[in-house]
Amino acid sequence: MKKIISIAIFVILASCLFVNQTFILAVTPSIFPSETPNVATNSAKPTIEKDVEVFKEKIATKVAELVKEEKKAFAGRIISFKDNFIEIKKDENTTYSIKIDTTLTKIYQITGQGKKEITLDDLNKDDYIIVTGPLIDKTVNANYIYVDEQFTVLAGKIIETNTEDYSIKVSTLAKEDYILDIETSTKMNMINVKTLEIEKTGFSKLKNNDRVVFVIKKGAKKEEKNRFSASKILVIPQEYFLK
Amino acid sequence: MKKETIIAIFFGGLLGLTVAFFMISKSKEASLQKTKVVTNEAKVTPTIILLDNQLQNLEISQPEDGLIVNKKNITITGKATKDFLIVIQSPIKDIVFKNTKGSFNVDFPLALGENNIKILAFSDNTQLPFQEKDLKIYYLDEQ
Repeated sequence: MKKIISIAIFVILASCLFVNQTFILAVTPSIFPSETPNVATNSAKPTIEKDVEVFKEKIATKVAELVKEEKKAFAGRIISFKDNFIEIKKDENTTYSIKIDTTLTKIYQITGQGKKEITLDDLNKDDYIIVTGPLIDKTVNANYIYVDEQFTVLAGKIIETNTEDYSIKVSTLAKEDYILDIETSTKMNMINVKTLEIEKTGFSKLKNNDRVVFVIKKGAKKEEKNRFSASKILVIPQEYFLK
Repeated sequence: MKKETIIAIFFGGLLGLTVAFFMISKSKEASLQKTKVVTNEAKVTPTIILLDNQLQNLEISQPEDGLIVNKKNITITGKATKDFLIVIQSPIKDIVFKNTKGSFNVDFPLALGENNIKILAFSDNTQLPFQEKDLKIYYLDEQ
């Protein structure tokens, strides 16, 4: 009888163990396959080779970061000169110091689609410049400097048209109002509501509530704040929205 | 083998299997409870997808803002709500088209130096404000 009981206990335990193990393997297969090959790989690969690979990866990442950093452009208006350093202001809160190497740094003036090489002496206060080169602690070691014009593209809704001085008042999404002077040089275009073609237009066609996308040249000095001469205007007439 | 031994093995096995199946069924219940949580999340998702389908925010996937290139044009790739009017303007070029597919891919010319590009998406409905994105792309031929 004792023998029978011990056999029965053994068989119970054996079946429990067998079924449980099969179930665990079936439910959580990811634990075993992911760990097993890793252990095999780790044991097969010498530690030094693994370290070299990690080191190589780190170097490659750092090089990629440096290349990306060097590919960055810094643009702003010149606010001061000191020896071989220029200070530029990007916006109200950001300034950069530009270090110029008189033998290495190349300086160009952009003229339309071309450029001409100039010297450091040709740069003036308030010039808008684009600088490329590595940035180290807010100082850019300039490789190239381009003197350019600063254009800004904005969009909004016409809220006022003034036929006396040929200006329009535009309210942007940011709730900022701009007064745009329409000059004879201003390129004025309008979208044809039916064909969506861009067609030339005139000041008399502008109406309140038309949407406009416009280009202004910054740095052009005007007495009134937010008043600019428009370089270009594209009008989306209100009829487009009433179709 | 004795008859008693065979009976003991049979009943032992039977009992073992019963215990094992009891444990399996318990584990399945636990896993079903976990699945219920996933099902609840899945119920929420279609509502979000539906909203997304109605209004797609203007997104520009390419090029990256601040990019420096040494070629005269770039490809602007993005997404906006289907049938919205897309307007792309820079100091040298204007492009206007209807976003019939929901996504767009257009070649855009660059001027030497800094290129400020504004991309806008207009709805037919004036109640919806237009959406806008700005890109600064630098075409610098010495790079």
